[in-house]
Amino acid sequence: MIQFVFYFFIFLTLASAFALLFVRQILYAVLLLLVVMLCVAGLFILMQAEFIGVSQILIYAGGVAVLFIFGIMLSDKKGFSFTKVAYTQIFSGMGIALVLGSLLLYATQAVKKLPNEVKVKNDVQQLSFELLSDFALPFEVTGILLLSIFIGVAYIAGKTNHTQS
Amino acid sequence: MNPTYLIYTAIVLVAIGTALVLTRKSLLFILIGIELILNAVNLNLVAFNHLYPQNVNGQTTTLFIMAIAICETACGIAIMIQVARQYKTITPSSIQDLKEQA
Amino acid sequence: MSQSFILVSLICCLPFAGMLMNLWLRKYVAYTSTFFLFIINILVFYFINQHETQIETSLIWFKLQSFSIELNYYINRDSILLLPVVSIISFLVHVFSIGYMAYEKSLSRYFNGLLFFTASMLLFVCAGNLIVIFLAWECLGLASYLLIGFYREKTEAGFAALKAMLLNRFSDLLLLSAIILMFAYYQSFNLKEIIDSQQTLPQLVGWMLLLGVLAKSAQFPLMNWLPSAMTGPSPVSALIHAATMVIAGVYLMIRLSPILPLSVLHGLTTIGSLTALLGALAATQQFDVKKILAYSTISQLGLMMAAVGIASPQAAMLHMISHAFFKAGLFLGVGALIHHLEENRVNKEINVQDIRNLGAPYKSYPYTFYTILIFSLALCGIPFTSGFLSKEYLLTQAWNSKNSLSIFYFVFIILTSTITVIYTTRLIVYTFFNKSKENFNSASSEKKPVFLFPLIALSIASFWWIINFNPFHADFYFFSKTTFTTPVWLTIGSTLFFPVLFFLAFRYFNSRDISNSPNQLLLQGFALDNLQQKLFVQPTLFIGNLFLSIEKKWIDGFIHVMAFATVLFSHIISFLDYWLVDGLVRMTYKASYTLGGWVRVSRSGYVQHYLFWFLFTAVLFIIWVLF
Repeated sequence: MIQFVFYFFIFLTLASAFALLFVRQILYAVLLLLVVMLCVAGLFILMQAEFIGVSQILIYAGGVAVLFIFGIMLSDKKGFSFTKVAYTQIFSGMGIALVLGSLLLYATQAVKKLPNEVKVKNDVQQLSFELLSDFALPFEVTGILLLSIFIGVAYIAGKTNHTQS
Repeated sequence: MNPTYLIYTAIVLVAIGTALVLTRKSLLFILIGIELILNAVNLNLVAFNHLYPQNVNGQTTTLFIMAIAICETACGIAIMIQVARQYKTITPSSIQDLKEQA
Repeated sequence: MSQSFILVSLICCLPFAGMLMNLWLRKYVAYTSTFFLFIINILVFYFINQHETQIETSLIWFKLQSFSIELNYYINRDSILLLPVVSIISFLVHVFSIGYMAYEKSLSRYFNGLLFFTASMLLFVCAGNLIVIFLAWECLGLASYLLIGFYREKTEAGFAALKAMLLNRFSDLLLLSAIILMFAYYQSFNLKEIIDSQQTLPQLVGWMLLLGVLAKSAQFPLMNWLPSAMTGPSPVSALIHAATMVIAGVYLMIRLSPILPLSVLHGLTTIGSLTALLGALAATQQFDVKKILAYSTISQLGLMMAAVGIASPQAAMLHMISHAFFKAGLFLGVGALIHHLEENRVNKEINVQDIRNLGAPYKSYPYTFYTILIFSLALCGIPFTSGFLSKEYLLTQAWNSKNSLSIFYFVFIILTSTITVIYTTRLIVYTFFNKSKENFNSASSEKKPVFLFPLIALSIASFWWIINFNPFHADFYFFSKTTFTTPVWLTIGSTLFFPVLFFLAFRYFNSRDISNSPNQLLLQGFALDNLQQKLFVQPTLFIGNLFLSIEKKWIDGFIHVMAFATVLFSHIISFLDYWLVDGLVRMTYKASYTLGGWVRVSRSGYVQHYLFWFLFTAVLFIIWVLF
């Protein structure tokens, strides 16, 4: 049962990601991204990283998706010109992505099969200890970073260009 | 529940994200592609942490990456809004200001 | 340096001091300095006359290895006689100039010229060295040139000055050659040594000397500058072109007469006699008052020159002195008359120098008239004048001389004197007794002391007493005691002949109007101008034009070819420069530009292109790591 859920999540992730390549409506793309995120969160939980999974759902589903939707609201307007992307660009982009993916797959062949089952206990507690001891400084720095980003983004997005408008 | 599949999944996600970044004509798609790549990295980290559970460094790093990803997305969208105001477009191929003025 | 050297130097330098002072004290200095000069000359005259017969004094001027040129003076009886004459006349002319030149602008230039002339003349009279003589001689020429051309606004004055200069240069060249040859012959420039050596000059040098003095003394072939020189101011004519400078040539001949060869003496007599006759003839046909006097001067100079030629320098000297006084007086008198008439003429276009326009009543200008009359009588040789005595002496010397040409000369003197009486009478009559003209107002303004004093002083000096107390015996006070006897018939003849001739001529001219159709040959002074024009000026111009055409054709042509070649060469160089040197530089920058263009293609400015290349490089890196 759990095995089935695992493969189902993997399949759903890959399928939604693949669908992203062909979607034209940006709102759909955001919804597909949301599906990918939720599936990945499910995979995290299956990998005994419940805290990370919950964070993934909170951050991506609650934050990033909303951000994207606001971005669409503020930028996707009629009258904007959408130049067609050149085919050379599409083919070269696809080609380089394919090559990159296949190279990485080839590289992971060296790993062969990883161990299948590992008994680990659920340790959110250990994670919190680590964050507040060994990673205390990066944790604080990240907080400061978030604060400054919050201010900076508010500043950038709020700035109106008087010469243009 | 073999984590190897997760690694393969991560690789496919990276390739798709790369393709999105390189080929799509909207800045939002590019940002989505970047999110995909970052998620693939997270997936990798969590999978390996699952294989080697002596410490939780993988998960910790994932948390930091998430924080930085949300920062990056926020910044990107803010910049995108400014670009939309400035150029009346969000197609990167229409914005050529890095090139010398011919 | 002896005392006498200082004294003589003082004589020569005083006018120079006057010139210097003239620069800031203006006209009063000029005649003051000449007055002092006059007094000093009188002192020197007595000093030398009482103590010595000769002064020979010197100072080394400069040295050429073992040989030294001296600045020396040689003063003998001739010099002693001439020094006071020069200074007296110079003084009187300066005084006269104050009145005559009163309205001129460049007075200081004028007086400087006169003072410079006076200094040069005194130096010339005193000089005892051929080099110094030549120096003074050239200074005389320069002063003459400057003063003839004094009226700068008159074109003919400039031409007259140039003519005088050129003719004099021609002669001066010969004189300089003669001086150099004399040095070669005597090994000395010292006049006294040369004369004391008793050696006669070689023929060639003698003739060169003779030709060298012709222009300065206005003798026959080179005399035509003197009438032209009358465009200068009248006082200048009086001082330079009548009394002093023109006698320089005669004086030089007098000084050198002991060593002149016989042929040269004959040449002097011939040329002098000819000049005397021709000058007198030309004078009869002139209309310009001053030109009449100029030809008269030429004629009298001819007599003096001829007198040197018959080995009678004393006669020449005597005539020179008496002539200096009365001819200077004539010029000053005529100058005064011109000056008065210019003030009183009816309209400005009347030429007051033309005797056809004259006719001033002599009663309006009594002082001028009577002084001019006295000078004219002296010129004619009427008894009781100095002219009578000097002419008498000339005739006596010509008669007594054993020279083969002396009879010839005797006849010429009589002929010249006769013609002289005629033209002088013509001048007097047409100037003062012509009643029909109404060109002038009768207002008189002649009683200015600056005009009267020189005229009266010179007229006093024109009587017999300056030569001898006996009005019929020409034994000059200052001659050495060589007694001579004048034939009685000669004295009686000339005493009667010249007054009668004068009277007849006066009656003749008074009774008829002036002839308006003169002899053109005589009027133009025997066409000497044309002759010289044809002989010298035109060939010179021809040669000049020849050289000009050669210059234009060949030398300029060569220069043009050179210029063309240079331009061509420069074009080649510029072509090479443009394509080789600059081409290299341009190729370098074009190559960099092209390469840059190629590289620049990859910098498209699209974010996605940059990303593509980044990933492409990443893929390459991965491939390199894996394989």
